[in-house]
Amino acid sequence: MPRPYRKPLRLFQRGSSGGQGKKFPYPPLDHYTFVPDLKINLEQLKEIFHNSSDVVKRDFLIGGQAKAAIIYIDGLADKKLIEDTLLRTLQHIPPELGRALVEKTAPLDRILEIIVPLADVSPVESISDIVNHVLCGDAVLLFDGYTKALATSTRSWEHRSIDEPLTESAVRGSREGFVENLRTNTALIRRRLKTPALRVENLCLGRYSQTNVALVYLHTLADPALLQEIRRRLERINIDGILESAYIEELIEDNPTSPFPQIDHTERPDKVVAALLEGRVALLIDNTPYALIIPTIFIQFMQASEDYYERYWLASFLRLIRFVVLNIALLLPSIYVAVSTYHQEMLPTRLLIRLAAQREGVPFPALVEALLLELVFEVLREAGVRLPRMVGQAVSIVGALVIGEAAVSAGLFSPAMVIVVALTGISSFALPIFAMAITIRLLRFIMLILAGILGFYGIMIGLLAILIHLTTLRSFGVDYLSPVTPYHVRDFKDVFVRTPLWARLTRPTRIGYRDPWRQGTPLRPTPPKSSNQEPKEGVD
Amino acid sequence: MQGIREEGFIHARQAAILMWFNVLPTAIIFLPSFLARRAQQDAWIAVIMAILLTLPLGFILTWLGTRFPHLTLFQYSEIILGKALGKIISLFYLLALIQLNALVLREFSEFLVSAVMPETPLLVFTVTLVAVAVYGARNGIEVISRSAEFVMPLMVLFILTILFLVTPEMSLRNLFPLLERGVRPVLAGAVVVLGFTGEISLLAGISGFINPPQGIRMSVILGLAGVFFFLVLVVLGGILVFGSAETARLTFVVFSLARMVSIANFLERIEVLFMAIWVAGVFIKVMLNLYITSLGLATVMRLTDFRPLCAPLAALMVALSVLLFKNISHLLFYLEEIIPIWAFLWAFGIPVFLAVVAAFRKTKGGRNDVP
Amino acid sequence: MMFLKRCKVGLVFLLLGMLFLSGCWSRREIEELALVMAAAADAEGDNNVRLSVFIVNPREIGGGQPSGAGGGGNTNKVPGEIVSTTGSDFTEAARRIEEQIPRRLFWAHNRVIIVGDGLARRGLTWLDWFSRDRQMRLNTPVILAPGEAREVLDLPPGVELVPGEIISGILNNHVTLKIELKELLSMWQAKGDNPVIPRVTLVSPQEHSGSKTQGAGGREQQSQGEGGSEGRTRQKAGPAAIRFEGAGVFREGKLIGYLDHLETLGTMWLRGEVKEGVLTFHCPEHPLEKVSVRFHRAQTKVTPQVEGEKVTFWVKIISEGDLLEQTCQESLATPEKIEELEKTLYHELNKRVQAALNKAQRELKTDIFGFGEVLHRDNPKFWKQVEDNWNEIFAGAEVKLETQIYIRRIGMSYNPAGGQGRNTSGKMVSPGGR
Repeated sequence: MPRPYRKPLRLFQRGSSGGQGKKFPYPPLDHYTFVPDLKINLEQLKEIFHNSSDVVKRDFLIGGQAKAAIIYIDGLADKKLIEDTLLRTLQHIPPELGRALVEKTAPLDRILEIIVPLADVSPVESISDIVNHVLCGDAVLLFDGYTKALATSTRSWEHRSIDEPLTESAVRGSREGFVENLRTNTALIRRRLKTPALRVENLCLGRYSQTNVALVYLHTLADPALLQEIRRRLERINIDGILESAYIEELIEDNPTSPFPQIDHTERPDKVVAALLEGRVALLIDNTPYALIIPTIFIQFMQASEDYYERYWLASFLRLIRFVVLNIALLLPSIYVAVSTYHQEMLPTRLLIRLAAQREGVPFPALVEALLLELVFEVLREAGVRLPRMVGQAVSIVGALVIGEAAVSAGLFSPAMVIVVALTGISSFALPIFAMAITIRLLRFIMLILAGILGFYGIMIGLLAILIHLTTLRSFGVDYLSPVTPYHVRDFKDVFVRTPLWARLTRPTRIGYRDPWRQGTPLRPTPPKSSNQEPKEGVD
Repeated sequence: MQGIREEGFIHARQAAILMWFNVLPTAIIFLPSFLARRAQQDAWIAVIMAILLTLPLGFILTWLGTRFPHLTLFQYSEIILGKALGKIISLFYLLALIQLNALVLREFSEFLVSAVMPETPLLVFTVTLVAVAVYGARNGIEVISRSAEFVMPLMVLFILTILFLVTPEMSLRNLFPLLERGVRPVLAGAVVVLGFTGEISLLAGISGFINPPQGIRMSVILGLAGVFFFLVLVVLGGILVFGSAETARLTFVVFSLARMVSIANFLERIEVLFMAIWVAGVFIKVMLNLYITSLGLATVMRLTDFRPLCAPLAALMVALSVLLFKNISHLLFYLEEIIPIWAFLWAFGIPVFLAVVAAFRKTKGGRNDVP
Repeated sequence: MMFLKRCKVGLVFLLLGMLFLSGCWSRREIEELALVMAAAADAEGDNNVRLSVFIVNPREIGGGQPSGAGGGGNTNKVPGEIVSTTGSDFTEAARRIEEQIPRRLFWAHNRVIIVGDGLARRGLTWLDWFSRDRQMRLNTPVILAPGEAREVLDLPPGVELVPGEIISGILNNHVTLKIELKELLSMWQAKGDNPVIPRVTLVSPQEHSGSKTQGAGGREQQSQGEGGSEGRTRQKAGPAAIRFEGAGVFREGKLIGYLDHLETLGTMWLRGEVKEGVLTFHCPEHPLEKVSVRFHRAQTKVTPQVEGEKVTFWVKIISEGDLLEQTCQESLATPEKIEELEKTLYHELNKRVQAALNKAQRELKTDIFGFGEVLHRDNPKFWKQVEDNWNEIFAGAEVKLETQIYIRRIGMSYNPAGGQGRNTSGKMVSPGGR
C-alpha cells in the first residue's frame, strides 16, 4: 500500500529576510518600542539579550550632565577604541554641550556632529536596529530623552591574516587570498580596481546568521539584466543561515540537478578582478574566503590564473594538456575496460599478448577489477584528506604504493589496471578547478559501467548523454558550452590556447557585450625602429 | 511558434549542419557499395550527378521557406491547402518520417551488430540510442543544433583523417577507365543516391526556426555542398583503395576503409573509433528526426506541447524498426531498390506539390497566419 | 499515476539494472581468448578441408607475473600450440577446433594465411570464409606451402617466437613477393589478371645447420643449390627454418604451375611490386667477378600498343641504385664505368623478365602481370573484344623491355678494398687516387 503523498511542511511562510541591506532580526522584535526613557530601553535590551555574558552595557554621563549608555558586544567591538576615544571624549566634553543635550536646545544631530569623535556613525531609530548594530559589532549610544540612538562602527575582531590561498597556489602571481572578513575582501578588490565604476552592493542573507553578502561589479560593464536576475534570486533565499558561499551557490544556480558546477568559486582576488573586467559579477560572502563568480561557463574550469602570467606558448601548451587530461580523467579506465573486453582487435599484438599474460590468474573480470581499484583509490584519497597534513601525504603515498604492489603480487589485480587507475587519479588532480574534478570523478564511474556493459558503444552513449546535458545547461542566461556552441569565433582565443595579451582585443561576447573592446590596438610590442642617428662622439 | 512550446532559433549555418547530419552518416555506410555495384568505378560521378538532381529540391525548399517565413511545413501546408487537406498531407509526411526513422534505427543497429559486436541483440543498440535521443529531443531545437555543432568538427576531422591516412593504399588506376559503360549505369547510381539525399527535405520541418528566414537559402547551399563534398570524397576513397569490384563486394565500405589504416605499425585498427564517432552522427540524425516528428504531430493535432509525444513516438519507431525488415539482405534491398522511389514520392513530391499549389494559388503567409 | 511519478528515478535504475543483469553479450575477457597467429588451410580427402591454427600461449611470451603455476619447470618454452581439425568447410573446422581448446578463437591478430598445395589446386573459392568473417583482416598476407600447409606451422621459435611473426617478418623485409588477401581477391576478380602467391620452402634441419652460417632467408641472389627441397622430402623432426622461393600461379582460381626464383623476381619487376632489392651480376671486364647494386626505389610503367589484332606491351622499368659490392679489382667509380654498369644492368634485368615471360606465355599461358588490366584501362573498346579469352591472346603478345636504371651512389669507398686500383691499361694508380 503506497504511502499517502504528503506535502512538505511549509514553515517560514513569511517573506524573505534578504534585500537591499535591510536587516530583520530573527526572531522578530517588532513588539519592542523605542521610548525616550533610557532606563526602559535598557531594560528592553536586557530582556532581548537575556543577560548574555558578552553583552556589555555602560551608563555614563556625557559632559557630566546628560545620561547616556553605551552597549556593545565584547569580542566584536574594539574595546580600546570605545574606552579611549569614545567614552573619554564624550565624558570630557564641555558641560555646555552636555546641558544642551539635557535641555534639548539643539537638535540631536547637531550636537552629535560636534561631540562624537568617530568616523563611521549612523543614526538608529528602533530597537531592532539597535540590536542589529550591536550584533554586528557596533557600539550603540543611547541618550536619555531621545528616541534616536547612534550606532558607531567599532568593529574589530580576531581574524586570519591575508595569506596565500591554500587551494589555489600559483607559481607566479600575487599570493594574497581572501579572508573571512568581508571588508578586507572588498578592500582587496578595491585596491586592484581603483575606479568609481566598481560598485559594492550589500545584502543580508540568512535568518539567524544575517550574513553580509556583497554584490561586486563594474557598473559600466556588467549586464543590468544579469544584475537584476541575481538580485532577484538572492532575495528569494529564505534560509536559516548562510555558512559558506556554497549555500548561496546551491540556492541560486540554474540547474540544481546537474552534477556540473555552474558558478565558480575562488580564493584569489586577481581572479575575481579578471572576471569583473570581463563583465562578470562577483559575490563576496562574510565569514568565508570563497567568492562566487557569476556567470560561469565550462571552459573557465580549464583556465587557471597563472596561465595569464606565464608566457603564452607555455600556457597554451599547458592548456591543451589540460584538455587531454580532462579526457584521460574521464575516459581512461572506461577505454581500457572497453578495449580489453570488447575490442581486443584494437590493441597491437604485442600489447595484447602482454596484457593477456598479465591477466592470467587474476580472479576478477576487467570491469570488476576496475571498479574495485577505483573504489580503493577513492578511499585512499578521502583518508588522505582527513588525516593531519604531515601524516596524510605519507599515508596516501605509502598506501597507494604498498597496496598496489601487494595486490599485484598477490595476483588480485593486474599491473596494467593499477597503472591505469593511478594515471586517472593523477589526471584528475591536474585539473585546475576542484569542482570540475569532482564532477569528472563521479562521471567516470558511470562511464566505466557503461563501458563494461556495451564497450566503446557504451562510452559513446554516455558521452552523448553528457553532451546533451551540457548543451541544456545555462549559467544565468549564458550557454554553458559557449563559445564552442553557439559558435562565437571571437571568443576562441581563450579556449584551447592562450593567445598573447596583445591579441586579446575583445571581451567574451555574451557577457561583456556592453563594451566589447578591451584594449587599444596595436598593442603588440615592437622594438624601436632604427633611425639615422649621428654616431656618438668617441665611439668608433 | 504559436501555441507550441518552442521558442528556439537557429542560424542558417546550424541548419546546414543539421542537414549534413541528416544525410551523411547513413549514406557513407551504405552508398559506396550500392554505387559500385551499379556504376563500378564511376560511382563518384554518380554522386556528382545526383547533386544536379537534388538541386531542384533545394531550390523549392528555399522558395517555400522564404515565402512562408517562420513557419514549418506542417503549418504552411494547412495554409496552402486548407485545413483538411493540409492536415492529411502533413500526416502523410509524418508517417513517412516515422518509417524513415525506423529505417535509420535499423541501419544503425545492423551495422553495429554486423561489424562490431555480433552477439549483442539489435534492440540493445536501438533502445539505448533512442533513450538518449528522447532526452535530447525533448529539449528542443536549440539543444539539438548545438549538439550537432559540437559533434560536427569531430566527425569531419575523423573522416578526413581516415581518408588521409589511407592514401598509401590508394591507387589512381582504380578509377580508370572512365565511363566505361556509358552514362546509363551512372544515372542508375545517381538515383540510388537520391534516396538518401532526399532527406534534406526535412529542412522544411525546421525551416520555421531559422533566423533570419532568408538564411534558409544559405543553409540549403551550405548543407548540400557539405553533403556532396563528403559523399564524393568517401566514395572516391573507397574506389581508390579497393577498386570497384571489391567495393561492390563489401557491405560496409567505410568501415573496411578505416580498417586499412596502418601507420608505422602502430596506428592501426582504429575502426572502432570510427564506429564511435559515427554513432554520434547517427544519434544526431535520429534525435533530429524524432524532434521533427513530435513537433509535426503536435502541430497537426494542435497540442500545446510536443514533449510528451517524444517518448511514445520513439517507442513506435523502435518497434517498427524491428518489424519492418526480416534480415539485413531485406534491408539492403529496400535501401537500394525501393527507397529511391519512395523518397521521390514524399521527400521530393510533397514539397514540390505544395510549392506548385502555392505558386498557383499565390498564397503567402507569415507567423500570424497560422489558423 | 502519482506513484509512478515519484518512482521515476527508481524506474530508471531498475531499467539500468536489467541491462546489467541480462548479461553483456559481446563481452570477452582477454584471458578467454585464444589468439590465432597463423592459419593454415589444407585440402583433406575429396571434399573436406583441414584447418590448422597456431595459438599463442601468452604466459610464455608475455613475461607477466609469475602467478601461480606458470611455466615453472618447463625447460622447452613453446610459445604456443598448434591445433588442427578437419571439416566439410572452414567454419565447421573452426567449430571443431573450439571443441578442443578451452578458449574462443580470436582471429583479429592473425598474421598470415598459409594455403596448402592441395587446396590451391582445388580452387581459391574455398577461401571465402577468410574474407567474409568479421574478425579477419583483408590485409593479411597469403602464402603457398609446398605441400601440407600444416607443416609450416611447425617452425621452431628463433628470433621471433611465433611462426606467424616469422613469416610476416620475412615478408616485411621486402625481398619477396607479398600478396595480401585484398590484392589476391582483386587479382582474381579482374579479367585481365591472375593471382600469384609467394611460395615457401621448408628447410630441413641438416640443410639448415649447413646453411646456418650464411643465414637462411631469402636474399635475392642466393646461389643455387642451397637445398631448395620442395614438397614432401622433409625430416620427421619438422622444419628448422623457412625460406621464400618462387611463387604459385593460378588460373581461374586454381593452381596450375609454379615459378622458380628467377621467374618470381621477373614477375615482381613486371608487376611493379619491387620495393627494394639487390642485383648481382658480373663485372664488365672480368666475367668471373661480381658486382652488386642495391636499389631503393623502382617503378614499372606498362604501356600497351594495339595494331589491329596484335598487342605489344612496352614495359619501362625506372630505378635508382647504389653500388654495394664489387669483387673485381678495378675501380668502378668513374662515370664511364658507371655507364657500362648501367648497360649491364639492363641485360641482367632482361634475363629475369624474359624468364618470367617465357614461363607465363609459353608454358602456363596465363597473364600474371596484370597486363590485361592495363589494356582494359587504356583501351576499353579493344578490351571488350578480347577480354573473354585474354590468356590466349596474352600468350601471343609481344613485350618489349626498356630500363632506366641509374646508379647514383658508390657507398663509402672509391676503390675496391685491396689498395691498388688498376685501370684498364694496367697502369698502377696510387691508392686514394681516382
